[in-house]
Amino acid sequence: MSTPETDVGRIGEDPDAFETFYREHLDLVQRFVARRVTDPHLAADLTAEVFLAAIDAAASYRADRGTPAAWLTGVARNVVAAEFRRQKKDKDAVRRIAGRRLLDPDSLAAIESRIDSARESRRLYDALASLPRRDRALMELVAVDGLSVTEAAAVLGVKPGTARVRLHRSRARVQSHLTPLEVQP
Amino acid sequence: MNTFEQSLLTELREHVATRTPGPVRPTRSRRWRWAALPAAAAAAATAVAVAMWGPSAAYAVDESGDDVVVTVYRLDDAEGLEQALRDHGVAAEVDYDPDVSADPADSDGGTLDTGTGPEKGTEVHGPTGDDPGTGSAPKIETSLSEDAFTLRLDRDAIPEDQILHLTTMGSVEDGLSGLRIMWVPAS
Repeated sequence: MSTPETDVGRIGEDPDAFETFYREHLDLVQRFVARRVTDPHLAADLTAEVFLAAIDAAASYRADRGTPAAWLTGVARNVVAAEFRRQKKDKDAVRRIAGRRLLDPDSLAAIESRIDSARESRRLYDALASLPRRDRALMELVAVDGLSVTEAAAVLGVKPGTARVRLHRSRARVQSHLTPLEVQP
Repeated sequence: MNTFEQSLLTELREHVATRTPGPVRPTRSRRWRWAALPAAAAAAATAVAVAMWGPSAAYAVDESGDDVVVTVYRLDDAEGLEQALRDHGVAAEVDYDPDVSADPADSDGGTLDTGTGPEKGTEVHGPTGDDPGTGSAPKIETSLSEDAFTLRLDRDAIPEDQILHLTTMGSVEDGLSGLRIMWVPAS
């Protein structure tokens, strides 16, 4: 979760810098998406959307506020949340790059496998629906995505101490789902 | 990488190579001057107006307790501010277009009357299309200082089905500009 050498500020203007960033974080993005959606075609679209959003937002990255991976996780959260809002409104998405168009049978199978592997994580993700939105976001990052409390706090822009308090409260509310999981310090 | 991952990389590289970076606006050394206080802060649309003598900084988005705090130092990098707000869970559209009309007919939820000069700034009224008494919109607290304009949003009151719109009107070059702050339903 830490690639401090990445020059995020240049990924919006330098294809080589972007490729380095892409190779470093592709797995992170694909796993993040697979823990939240079950349709492989939508997963392909969202993977493309996350990187497009990162390219657009590259200038806003601040190294003193977190690692590139933490920042990209925040971008991915926003992209997936926007997709869910769009689905609720039953609107067709207009995508700049339709990731599903790039899928071949082997790539599709790989995404399906990744989605299948994330089944338990998605069950937990769904179980967090009862939490307030702010607490849910924190629990997602820690319990579903495996970030440390400090990393998740950086993604959400809160202090680690505040995050620990919220996590403690949230764990009590969904104890039955979270008992088997380790919360990293 | 598999075929999909390689193909996506190829398309994204091409996108990076051909995209046009956002315009870089010149930095000025003159400071804000506030000419009016916010009105209708708890109404369905919140509107404030500011008069300023040119920008000198940029923006900041931070958290304070349960609030998201937005500080605007100068009218620059609207997309960066949008992204910063999204990073803090706030869907927003920011428009720093000096050509945006101040005609009340163009307003989505309120009316705006401009003043007669940079010294007087702008005068803003609350929304006209909504019942101010409904109180359905999230509360926005505003504060003004010599150098910045600050919005404080109660995070727990931010709805998922509305977008925060920040729109400036007028021209910094003319020494007068307005800033309209509204919540509008996501479409």
